[in-house]
Amino acid sequence: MKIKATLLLIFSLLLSLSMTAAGGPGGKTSLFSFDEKEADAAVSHLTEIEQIVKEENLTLEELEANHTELLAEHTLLDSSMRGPMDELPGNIPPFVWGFCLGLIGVLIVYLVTDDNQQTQKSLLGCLVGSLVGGLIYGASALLTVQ
Amino acid sequence: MKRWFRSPLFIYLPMKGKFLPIYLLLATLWLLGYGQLSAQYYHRLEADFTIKENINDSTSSLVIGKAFYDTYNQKLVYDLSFPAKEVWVFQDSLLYKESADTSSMRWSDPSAVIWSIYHLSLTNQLANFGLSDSLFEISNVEKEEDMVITTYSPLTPFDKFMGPIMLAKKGKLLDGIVFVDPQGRLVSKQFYRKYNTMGGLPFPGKMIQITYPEGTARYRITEFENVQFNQADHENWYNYPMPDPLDWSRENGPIAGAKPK
Repeated sequence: MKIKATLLLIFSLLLSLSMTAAGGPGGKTSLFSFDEKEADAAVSHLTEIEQIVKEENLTLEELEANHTELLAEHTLLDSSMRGPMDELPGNIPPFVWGFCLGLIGVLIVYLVTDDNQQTQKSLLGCLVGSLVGGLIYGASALLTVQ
Repeated sequence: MKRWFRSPLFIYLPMKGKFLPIYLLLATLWLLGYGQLSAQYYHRLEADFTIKENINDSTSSLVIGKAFYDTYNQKLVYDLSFPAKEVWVFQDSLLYKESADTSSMRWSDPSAVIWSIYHLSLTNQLANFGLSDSLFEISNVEKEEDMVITTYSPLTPFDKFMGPIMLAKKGKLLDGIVFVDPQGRLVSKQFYRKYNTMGGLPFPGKMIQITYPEGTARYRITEFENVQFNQADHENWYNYPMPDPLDWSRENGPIAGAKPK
């Protein structure tokens, strides 16, 4: 009986070790998983527009004039608002830059995007981050006093 | 047969006159070496690209164009056809935009060029996302399933502001990147798919970026087609003229934005 219990214990340990080594529950592999079909589905409405735009060599202005039905449910941004390089490193949202880096994050957003809306979002992140930091600091100070 | 395993390869084979395996081995090694060398000499890249992004439930972004990049002059040129016909030129710390009736110039972060997928690919840095010579150092390497996951942690004092970056490689190819904040919360993921390898230089056909503003996933999918290296046909694009910034500011006023330090 003791042998059986010991073998069961060893087997359980080996199983848990192999699961960890293979990136089972809790492994980093899950961080690198995503549903590609879901990603494709999220932008599928743009594929039809892309085909028509390429076939007819249209600009957004021309598309809006000639294919109103394609834009009935979705608004497309123009390139003056967003472009291929108008993004922050790592595509991290401006709010997060402000929240995590404070004023440095706001400065980075301002320098990289030169976009007032983005900078405002990072500033909001900076304020929220400061408030949260202040609350945590205050709470910890109170607990220390008590 | 036993002598085959006991004897050193280069002694046994000539004795039997079986030079073919040696020739094949040498030819393979030479080809591999040549592939590496030829990849190092690529300095130009052009590609058709389409960027699709869902901003929110009712707003999207679609950008279609062609990119030209040359490592010699580090000039990145976008010939955009949608949403508007525009040319964007990135060089040094400047971005010059030109359309049929207007042009503009503004200061831009130089990292827009040197962290672009075009520069990383041509300089063989895509596999580690250019993090080898940066503010990050390798803090952990582990193998999970068919991936090797390398964690790059920011150097002190930047670790107070930035979280680690995790890179997953499958074979020698970058498969995905995960960005987390200093508290370890997931910020963004990027995945690279449909690689094409030309002359030893891999380039992804699809790039998927996922961010999580307000808790919901936002997808940005970039697809590349007709990727070509060292094209000599489009000299006018690779060397697209950018006005001298001094002349520009004399004629049009100060350059927009803040000059990067």
